[in-house]
Amino acid sequence: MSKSTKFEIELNVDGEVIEVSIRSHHLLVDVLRNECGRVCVKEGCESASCGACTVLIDGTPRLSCITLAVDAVGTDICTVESLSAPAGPLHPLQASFIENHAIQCGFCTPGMLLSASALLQAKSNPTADEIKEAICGNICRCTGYVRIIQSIAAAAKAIHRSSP
Amino acid sequence: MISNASVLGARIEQVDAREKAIGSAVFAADISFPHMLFAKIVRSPIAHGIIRKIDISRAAKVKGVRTIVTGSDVPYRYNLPLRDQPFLAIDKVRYVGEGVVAIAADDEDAANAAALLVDIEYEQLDAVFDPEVSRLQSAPLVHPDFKDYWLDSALFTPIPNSNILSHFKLRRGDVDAGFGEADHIFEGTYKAQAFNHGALEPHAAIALFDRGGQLTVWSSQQSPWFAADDLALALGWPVHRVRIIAPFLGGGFGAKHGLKAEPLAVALALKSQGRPVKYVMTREEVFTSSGVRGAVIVKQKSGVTRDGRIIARKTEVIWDTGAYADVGPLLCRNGSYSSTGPYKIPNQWVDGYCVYTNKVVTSAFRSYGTMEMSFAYESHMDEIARAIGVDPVAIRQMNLLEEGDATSTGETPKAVGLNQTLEACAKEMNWSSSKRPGTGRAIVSTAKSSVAPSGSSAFIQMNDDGTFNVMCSTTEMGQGSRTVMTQIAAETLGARLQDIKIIASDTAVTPPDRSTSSSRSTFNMGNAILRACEDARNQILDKAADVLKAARSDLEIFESAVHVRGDQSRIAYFKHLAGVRPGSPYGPVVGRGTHVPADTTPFNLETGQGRITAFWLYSSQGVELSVDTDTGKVTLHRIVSAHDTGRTLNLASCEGQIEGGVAIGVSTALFEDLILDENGRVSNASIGEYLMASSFDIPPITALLVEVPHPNGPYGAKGIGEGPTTGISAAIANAIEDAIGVRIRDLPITPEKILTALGKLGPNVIPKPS
Repeated sequence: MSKSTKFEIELNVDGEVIEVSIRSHHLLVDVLRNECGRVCVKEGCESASCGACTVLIDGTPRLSCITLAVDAVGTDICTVESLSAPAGPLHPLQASFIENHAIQCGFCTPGMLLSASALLQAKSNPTADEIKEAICGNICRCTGYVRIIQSIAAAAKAIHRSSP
Repeated sequence: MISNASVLGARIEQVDAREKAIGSAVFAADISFPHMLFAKIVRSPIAHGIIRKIDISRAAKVKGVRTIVTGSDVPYRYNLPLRDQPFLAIDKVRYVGEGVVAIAADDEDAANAAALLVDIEYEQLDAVFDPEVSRLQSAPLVHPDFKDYWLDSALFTPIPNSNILSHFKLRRGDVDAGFGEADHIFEGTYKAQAFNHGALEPHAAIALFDRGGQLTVWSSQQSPWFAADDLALALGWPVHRVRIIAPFLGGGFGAKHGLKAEPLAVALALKSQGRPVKYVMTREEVFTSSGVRGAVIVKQKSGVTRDGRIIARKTEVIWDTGAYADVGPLLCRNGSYSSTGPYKIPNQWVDGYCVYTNKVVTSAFRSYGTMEMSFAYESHMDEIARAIGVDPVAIRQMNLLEEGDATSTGETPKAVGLNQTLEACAKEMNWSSSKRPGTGRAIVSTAKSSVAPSGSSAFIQMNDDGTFNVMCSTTEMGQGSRTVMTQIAAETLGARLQDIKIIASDTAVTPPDRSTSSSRSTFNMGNAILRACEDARNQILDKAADVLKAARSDLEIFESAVHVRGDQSRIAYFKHLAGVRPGSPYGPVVGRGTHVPADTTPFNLETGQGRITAFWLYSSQGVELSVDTDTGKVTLHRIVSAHDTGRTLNLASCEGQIEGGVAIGVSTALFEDLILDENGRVSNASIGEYLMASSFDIPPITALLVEVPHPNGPYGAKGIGEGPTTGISAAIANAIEDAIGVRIRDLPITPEKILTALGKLGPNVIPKPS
């Protein structure tokens, strides 16, 4: 493997424009973590099979471990940091995950929340199977998924109640 | 509102859930330092061989490469209590995936480029993969120099000049006489597969060897003191020269107990002139090189009376430890004696053999052998019940240990909630009614011990605002330790939950603790924190008596304040008693607590007798399922999971542990299998190829908590983490037989095995994994 020359790109991460120096083969997950201060994006498998590195690109869940950083130029990238403002209220999904004890080790949580948030954007009242489908690419070894599925359903109801 | 209500028992929110939900929780791989180097490991492509030549000259020329080390540069060995494993292979490789050369560079690109330019020549040796073959005297020796390794002979007994690194013996009563008196003899062989722990966070370590000679490792480590001890012994140093800092862990399950990523990061750091070295395993390395739940073979023979009492049992267990010991000697001991089950059997004989093979190393896994032993003894139990026509619950109730009975290790445990879990489970499943048509069901019972000796200690200090820092070395890995320790501290001090902050884990700050393992933390660290808090509480009361001019006996504490009983106007808030700031008339409040279970004893190595645990986990779990006999697909309808918690300190945490543990039980019973090809290479070393349960695979789980207060537990509590993983595979196997009449004794229970057992597939039709 020869090392190519680094070059500058701009990424739009959680509404913040960040200039970073990368090589063409650099993956979005590594650039977000190492260059953009987004260590909330987790890397679990490097092979598109665990879902921990999920981010939203223009609103759609994408696996940042198989996305080249250069391919994310010009898109809106959202990590879990975009779900709630630092001092502001939590996103209903975050609140629901906490209340329903859907978080154990927390390593899958950022990716899980982002997959769930995309689901709730698309479907305000998802069925249990639609919830399972939305997160079937997000592996959780701790919880057995039971409370994660409950939390997403509860968050959907909470969102529905607050904005009928 | 002021209240002195208990903070124990309810569904208390996890104290770290918010930081995990917003993404600010820090894991080892999230930590970075200026001038940090990045590690890449060159690993063995062969299972057994002599290293003839290592040429690093081309790799060293890659721009940005700073350090390259091989085994001879760091000639140290680790693993407690058998120091057999080198930091990097020395002269010989013993499994595919063993580290041979370590490279540290300015960035990952340079380290990766250099790794491709390392040339290593091997001379292949005969490898041995089958533990049944490896334990024979004729097998090639995996460790010809075994006699030169340090080991603790008080804990286990190797068989010289063989691959058997530990032979565990349990002898109780007269097993042959027992078989002679029995009306029936039953025999079965049960096999549990190798599988990966599946923690979502890959192992990571950052090592810094500073110029003052201090080694600091930030690491995904469950058991920081255990790891510091092992590293220090390997290096020939006092333990305090090794400082291990463990942030949040992204799941542990035993995979991160003991040294894993650390020796490789340390090997590089020792030669990197004060620059920190970061090593994060790839997922492939997690599968091939970090450790596995090892494969086990159990051969069990039981003598049974006509009415169903088991009066004699002989068991042989073969533990495949892979290329190095890791926990092998103690796993062989604790697992083998657990093979006797939660039953009062007067005549017992167990031989456990822990065997080297040329495979990835077996490490601890949640339940430490009891998962695989309970697959054997609870499958065996249903086979017996079915054969003699006794109800599966009735035969268990007839044989279950009760208060006053002795275990197979000769201990008479206190507070035995076994039968209560069985009754709760049977009631919830309507066992006395007939099953639903077309389904199968089963209930199993298990017992799991906890490690001993098992010391823990904790400090607590009051902060200037009346809050507290609790320093403890229990690592939070999702099991909820920070929350339960917060509850115990708040309850003991009379403080509000939000006034407690847990500081964990840093061996330069948080005092010694054996490990975060073996479901031991609530019991052992809970007791240490309880005592530290009692110490602090006494200091608070002394100060408050002075401030309030009241007798100590008139004081009570709640809501982070000291009150004079019956006089609402006389209150001393904690923050006024803190004594932290200069000029304070009072000294600081600093408490300490230590807990070592006093009444455990060493094992007798010839008989396996001794009081070897401070408490037991007792569980009964039931499954309802159906099987499609055309496809072999198993559909789980429901799982009921009953556990004796002693006392439930946090209902939500306990339910979470049960659901997660049951899910692992389901996933490993039906899906997971680490497959090796004929050359010993893991052929499914990625999450994409290694089948695990997903969001669709887990049925509804009913968690039932039985409380039989343990006299030595904090507020009566004991551990729960490992119980739910035990027994599930046996319950599924038993329910499958109940549903369709075929018995599977070999995990995982795949559709192919079911169809083969039904006679719908021939063994020659099944494609062999390659």
